[in-house]
Amino acid sequence: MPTIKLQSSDGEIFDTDVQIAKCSGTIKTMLEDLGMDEGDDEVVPLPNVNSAILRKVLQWATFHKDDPIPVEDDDSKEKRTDDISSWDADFLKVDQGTLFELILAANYLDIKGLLDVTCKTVANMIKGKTPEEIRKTFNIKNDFTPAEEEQVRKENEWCEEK
Amino acid sequence: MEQNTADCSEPSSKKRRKDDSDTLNQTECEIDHINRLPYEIFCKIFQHLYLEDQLPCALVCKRWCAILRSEPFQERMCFNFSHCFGLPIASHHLQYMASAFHCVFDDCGSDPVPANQAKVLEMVRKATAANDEPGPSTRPTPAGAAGLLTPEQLLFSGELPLKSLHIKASFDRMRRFLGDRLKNMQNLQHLTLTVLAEVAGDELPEKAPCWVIEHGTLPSLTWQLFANTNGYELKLPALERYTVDVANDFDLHYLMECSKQLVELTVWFYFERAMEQTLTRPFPRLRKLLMKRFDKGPLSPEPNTRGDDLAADRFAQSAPLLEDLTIDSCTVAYRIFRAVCLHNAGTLTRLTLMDVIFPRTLFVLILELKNLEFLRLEECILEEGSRLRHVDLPKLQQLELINSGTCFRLDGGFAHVRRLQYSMDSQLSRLCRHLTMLEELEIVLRTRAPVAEAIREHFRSLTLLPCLRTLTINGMKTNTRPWDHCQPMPNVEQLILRRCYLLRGNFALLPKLFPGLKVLTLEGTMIAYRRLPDGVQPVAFLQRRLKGYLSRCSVTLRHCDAEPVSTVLKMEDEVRWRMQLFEQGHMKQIPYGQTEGKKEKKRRKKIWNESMLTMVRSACLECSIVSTARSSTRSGTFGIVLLLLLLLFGGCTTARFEQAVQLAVRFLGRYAQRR
Repeated sequence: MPTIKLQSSDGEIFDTDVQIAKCSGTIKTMLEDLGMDEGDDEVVPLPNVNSAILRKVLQWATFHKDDPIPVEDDDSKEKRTDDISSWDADFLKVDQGTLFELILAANYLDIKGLLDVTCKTVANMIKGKTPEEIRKTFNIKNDFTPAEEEQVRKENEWCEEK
Repeated sequence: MEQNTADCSEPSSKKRRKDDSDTLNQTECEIDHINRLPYEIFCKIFQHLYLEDQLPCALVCKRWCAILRSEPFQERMCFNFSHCFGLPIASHHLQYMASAFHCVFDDCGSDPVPANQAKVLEMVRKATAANDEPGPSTRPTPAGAAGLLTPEQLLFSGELPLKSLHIKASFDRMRRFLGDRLKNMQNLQHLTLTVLAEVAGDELPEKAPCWVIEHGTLPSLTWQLFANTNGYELKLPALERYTVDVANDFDLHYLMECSKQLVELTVWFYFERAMEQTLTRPFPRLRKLLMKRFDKGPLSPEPNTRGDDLAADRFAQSAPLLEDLTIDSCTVAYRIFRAVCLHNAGTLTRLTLMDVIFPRTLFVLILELKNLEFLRLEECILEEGSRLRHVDLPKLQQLELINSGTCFRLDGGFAHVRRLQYSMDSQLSRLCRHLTMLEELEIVLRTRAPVAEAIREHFRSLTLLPCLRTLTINGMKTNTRPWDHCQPMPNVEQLILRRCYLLRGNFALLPKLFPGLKVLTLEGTMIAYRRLPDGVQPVAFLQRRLKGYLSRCSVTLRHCDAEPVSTVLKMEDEVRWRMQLFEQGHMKQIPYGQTEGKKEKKRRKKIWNESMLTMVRSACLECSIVSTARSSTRSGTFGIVLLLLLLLFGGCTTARFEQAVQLAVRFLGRYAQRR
């Protein structure tokens, strides 16, 4: 199996199966468009991903390397979030810092499957909560003035009474 | 898993990496990591939430509020708006409407139930009272005086970014309030008009003036009729995609009028003549056509005179680009099918046929369609003569054959098919020998014929398929037990169990049978268990157990449920289970109101009848299966109950009555045979 070298932001080098690395749209484009051949000993730098996250991403990609390619339908109105597979659910039992870092990495590396499943996980964390509970979950500071908050609340009310 | 714990608490952002790592765990709890995410990711996350979950998000912080109300985000959302035409909108509602890109407008003034209408009006009155508005009425209010806009004034002011609009209202209210304002909406790409029954205050159909629907650039229009339209006129020079119910002469007239410009047409015919007349029009640009007869008449052989054929020939020749054709039990199905096979063979790539009984001489024409890539036959029957053999359709990639086993012999002719959906019959071994390129196979076990024997005999042949990667089993029951008759299938990487009844005891069999399995998906499947530990959530617990057996495989459950074995056994007997639900009143939920318009009433009644008929029909099927299994006394009494039901519910219209009697006779014949 041909491999390529990926370099994380902190300099660590990962020897990776080409097929697995190509889960990432970004790396795939680099390899194909920029004419990086598989035989080359050249290193692909990934300045936006640190080694811990890259390791996790590769772990995910290794497991999912045989998944069918997700269908491109961006405007699907699908709101289902209950279809996370058990392996993914376990894989994503991490602290929030890692979770959001994974989202950013998936976004940068253009890995649709990982991005979807992580976003769904976050959506699940939001569902069914009050604003105060959401703030508590994510350590968000309330930066509304009472008047502003009242205004937003009033605008929301009308939607709720439908 | 090489993941160690240090990874999890690893600092995430690059900047912070340089910080002293000792302070990390402390700051971890105080930083709101989530707000480091960029805008487009937030959009993605919020998109997974329904409005009721989005509203609290807007109150979390300023940034979230701003994102939820930003334009690109709104563009991805569809905004449901329930209000009355002619009533002023309270000012703080305006911004929702003014920023929406996709809007469903539900005119509550068109609610056919007077009590609901009154309730809605009361609600709107309350909402607008704060703004010192004059009391609402169903008549247009000169709201401009108070500085407030009515929905129609706002929607059609021409300043909105709206791209798709869906209006649900009575026809006359649409005419009165939309009128000729539609052309102001320059950005509109898609319009859906749902016509509801007329309400108090509407003009009588005879008296109502003609509504001119005019728009210079609108490419797509959909009608949904729950009531008859009155007079209208279409002036849509850019129309390309048209979905229409042809229920009266206006509908027919404008369908025929715009035939030359259409690229995609979906049409439901309510009367025979409309179909005939539509065929006389040229469709020079048409690529995709779906036609369906709304009220399926009795499936009688249709008259097929020379004149009829000529009309269909002319149609097929005047639609030279047709690629995708769907015919659903039309009486013109024969003619269209014949004409298309003879004249559109070059362009047609997708064909779907439903509920047609073909004479063999006609069906062989399908061999002319050399460019066909997708073919679906559902409930199609080949009369007289044997099924087609050695079918040569060189480009066919995907074949779906549902309860249409009499049409084709699945032999070497289909060797290049890659995806097959197929309702179980005795052809399984043969297809496994011949369809060597098959990558995806879906076996539907809900069929007309008894299947247990076929499974016993043929399931082991599945190992013969060298390229099979994805196997779907649809409609398995706990007593079907295909596992007992299978050999291990190491090639299969993805297994999908759709609408099955799965015993928990079968979990242990899966890893042995599918050693190469990577993805297991259960869709709408019921898991039967004997005992569960106290206080566990059944589905989650069973998913964990399933995962325990398949450690290297990803397990996904969608819309699944778990029940004790005894309940599942009852549910499996779908007929009786449905009967039970019916007795408990669950089946009566289909509304059957009295104040609805005639047409809607008729339509709903039809739906209701149909659901009854399907139930009874499947009951008959089940019974014939039960009687083959020789538990005859029960099925006998059951049959009589069914017959009564048939006459009661099936006999609402003459056509139904005939079908019902046919079914009953067929069933009784079978039953007598068994005895």
